[in-house]
Amino acid sequence: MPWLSGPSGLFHTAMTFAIVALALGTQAGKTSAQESSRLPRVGILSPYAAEASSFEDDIKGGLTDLGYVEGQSIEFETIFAEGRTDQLPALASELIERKVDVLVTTTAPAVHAAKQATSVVPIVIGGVDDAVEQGFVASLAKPGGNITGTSWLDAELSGKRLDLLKQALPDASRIGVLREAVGGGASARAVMLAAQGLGVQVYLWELRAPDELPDVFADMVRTEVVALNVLQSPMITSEATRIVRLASQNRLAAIFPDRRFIEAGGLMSYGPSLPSMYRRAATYVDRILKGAKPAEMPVEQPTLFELVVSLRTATLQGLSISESILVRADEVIE
Amino acid sequence: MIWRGSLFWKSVLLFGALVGGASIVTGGSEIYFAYQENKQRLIQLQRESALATAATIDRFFGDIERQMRWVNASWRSPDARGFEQRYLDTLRLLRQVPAITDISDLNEAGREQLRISRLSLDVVRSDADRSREPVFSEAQRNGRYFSPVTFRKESEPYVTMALAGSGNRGGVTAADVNLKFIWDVISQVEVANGGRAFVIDGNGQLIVDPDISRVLRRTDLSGLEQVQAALAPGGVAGDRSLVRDRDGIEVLSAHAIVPSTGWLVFVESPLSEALAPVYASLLRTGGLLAFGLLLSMLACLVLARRITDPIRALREGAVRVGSGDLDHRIEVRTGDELEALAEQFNDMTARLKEAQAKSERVAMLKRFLSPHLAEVLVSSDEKRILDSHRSDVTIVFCDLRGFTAFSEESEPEEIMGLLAEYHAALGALIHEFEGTLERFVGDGLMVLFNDPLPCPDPAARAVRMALAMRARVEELAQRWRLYGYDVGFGIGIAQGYTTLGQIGFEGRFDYAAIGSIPNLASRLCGEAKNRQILITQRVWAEVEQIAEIEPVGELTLKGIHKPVAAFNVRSLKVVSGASEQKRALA
Repeated sequence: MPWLSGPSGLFHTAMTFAIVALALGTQAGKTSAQESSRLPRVGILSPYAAEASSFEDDIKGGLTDLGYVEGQSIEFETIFAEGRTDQLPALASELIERKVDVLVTTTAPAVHAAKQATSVVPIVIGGVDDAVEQGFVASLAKPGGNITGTSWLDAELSGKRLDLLKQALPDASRIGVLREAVGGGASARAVMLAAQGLGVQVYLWELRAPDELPDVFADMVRTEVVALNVLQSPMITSEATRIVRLASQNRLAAIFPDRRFIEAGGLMSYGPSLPSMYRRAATYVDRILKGAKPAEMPVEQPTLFELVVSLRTATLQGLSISESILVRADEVIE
Repeated sequence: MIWRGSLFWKSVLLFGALVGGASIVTGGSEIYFAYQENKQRLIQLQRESALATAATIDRFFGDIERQMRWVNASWRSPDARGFEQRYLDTLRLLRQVPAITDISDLNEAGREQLRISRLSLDVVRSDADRSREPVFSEAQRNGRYFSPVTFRKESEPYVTMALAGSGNRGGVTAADVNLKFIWDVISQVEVANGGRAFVIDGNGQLIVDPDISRVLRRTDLSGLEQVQAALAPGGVAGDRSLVRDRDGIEVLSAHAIVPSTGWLVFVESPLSEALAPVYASLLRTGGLLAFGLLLSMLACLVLARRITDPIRALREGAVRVGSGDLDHRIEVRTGDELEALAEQFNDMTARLKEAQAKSERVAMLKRFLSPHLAEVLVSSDEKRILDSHRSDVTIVFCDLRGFTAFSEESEPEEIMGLLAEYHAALGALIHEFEGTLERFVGDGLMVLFNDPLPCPDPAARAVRMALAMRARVEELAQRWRLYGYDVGFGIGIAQGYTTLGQIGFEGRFDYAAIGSIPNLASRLCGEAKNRQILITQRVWAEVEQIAEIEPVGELTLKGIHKPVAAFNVRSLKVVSGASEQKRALA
């Protein structure tokens, strides 16, 4: 064919070039899309026993809701401290050694342990009383370090719990406060402050080990406190059933930090929904795995607070709860 | 200006430019208008979305307001019982509206009666004087008041909504609303093409955003062009179409105002995604354009080839023919004017070749024939004449008497001069009587009649010519005698079938008559004395009507068996009584 020669030859060369370039380009595009096959690894440090808290389930559930599939797109390393606060530093270090990409934990002692174990691996707080006051973040709006997550205003809430307890039992004038002997005691101080405003007398008991519980309660009875404000901590949450039983046995009207205690038979609880906080923490994990920096992720505070009252327990203990609390309660268990 | 260059590339480029130009213009304008349309449509959609979102936010506060007014209306009496009722109703309100974190109740004097909170301690009947706070004063004045947005703990956005009481009770109810609850509203706003909706307050602070971190982080958007334009007095109506969002991405931006609070809802979508269909169309059009250009280039190449190849063939043909190759024929099979042109060129070449061949023949014939005869002969186009054939011809031989003696005695210049005159004279006569000079040797000539040019009366012409020759040479001889040259002239004429044709060899062919008749004529010429024209019986038979002829008896000629009856032509017969002149001529 006469037109294959001469100037047409140039055309053919150009077309060949174009086709080859196109083919190479698509190939390059394909190969760059294939990234390294190592799965992201999330380390969960639960201060509780597995059955004592929904922490692990909610973190994993939250990530599942976001589309992660364990084994296919994400890996988990979970360690349970089972309430042994003193073990937390060692357990945190172990998780770090397992080369997790992000560490999720809850409560101040656990976060402290994690903070000591690493200043590089991102740490997500599933819930802590006061992230600023504990020194985990520079400010709620701009954490500035490798730690971020959800904070549940426990100091304020502890004071509010006292307020609600007093409203529930207007005649109560001697109220006890139970806390774990760990941390800075900010919640306890808030309770003391609130007590002044409310005009009640509060007595503080600090728990160092679960075995001390019977003695502590015996002491409470001796001190003639009629109501109890239980403060949040790993040990206390792990011992929820026992504490509820002891309170009930000793006819102490107790207000607890979250509804797990109510399910165990407690009288009142007021606080944010922990599962929803844990699931918010899962969104932090997701964003960090996608490249967000903890230093720039603001700490979230809870928006929903539940007041749960168990009339069943009240009846059992022979207590009558004021109408205002019953009206105010988000949930009343008959 | 002449654009010098190959016709091929000229047409390729021109055609390509035309097609390309047309495609680019149509494609480009299409894309431009599609872009504009798309942009306008998207902004319109976004504006509607912003309005809808603003309305939803209004409803959000409207719901809270409604519930608050219900509580307000429940106030029956200012006594303790009424207060108790009020207190419980307020607690119910708190339970029903999770968005409210604190509720304050101020009486008509601005003194706080109730303060119920989810986080801080409840305060009952404090009677604190809050009459100077805008919460009280503004609400009293306008019926409803929205405080500026504040950030609790430097992070959480709150607004206080205060309502003035109605009916039989004055006073103000103020609720602190956590704006994170509007996040639901915003996150449900669907913006096409990966866009987002967000809300800013009157200072350009981000207060609601699908990504709640941005709000908690305290993002100030007052620097954005679209925000400034919207916040400027009277700037609400205009939408900025092409601006950059907080991340620096170009976006299409539309906004609407939330009537109750004065906040601004922005709906923005990235320009690149919004225009993705346009880009897709652009790519498509571009691809089609490129493809079309390619096709047209190819078509052009083919077309141009089809034109330039025949033209090149024509040019090369012309060069070859010009340089002498008259056998070359141009091959062009395009079925159009170019083929016709090539045909005509080939015709011309063929004719050129013919003409060349003819002129060669003419040149050859001109040696024997008079130029006129040669032309005539050639134009009658008979190559055959040169082939051997037999014709009934009249052959005339003539030569000078005493020429040999003369040439022995004379100088070459004299001989040549005499011959020149002689030949000139006789040549003219041959030409006049349309005879064919077959050959000449020195002073001898042989002339043919009736071949190669046919004529009806060859013998008569021959005789007339012979007589004219005799007379002419006589004239010349008289002059020559003055110089001392003494020569005579004799002629022999015979007629009959003779073989004629080309004889000779390559490079030197001659037209010759061979046979007895030329012999006869030649011998007769030899026998003729000065002034004699000897003819055969045959010739005599042909011309005895027109000439005065006397017999000279039977002659024995060399090379001829039988004696030949010969006759001498004295003169032409004169018509009616001019016999004296006849005699004078004899």
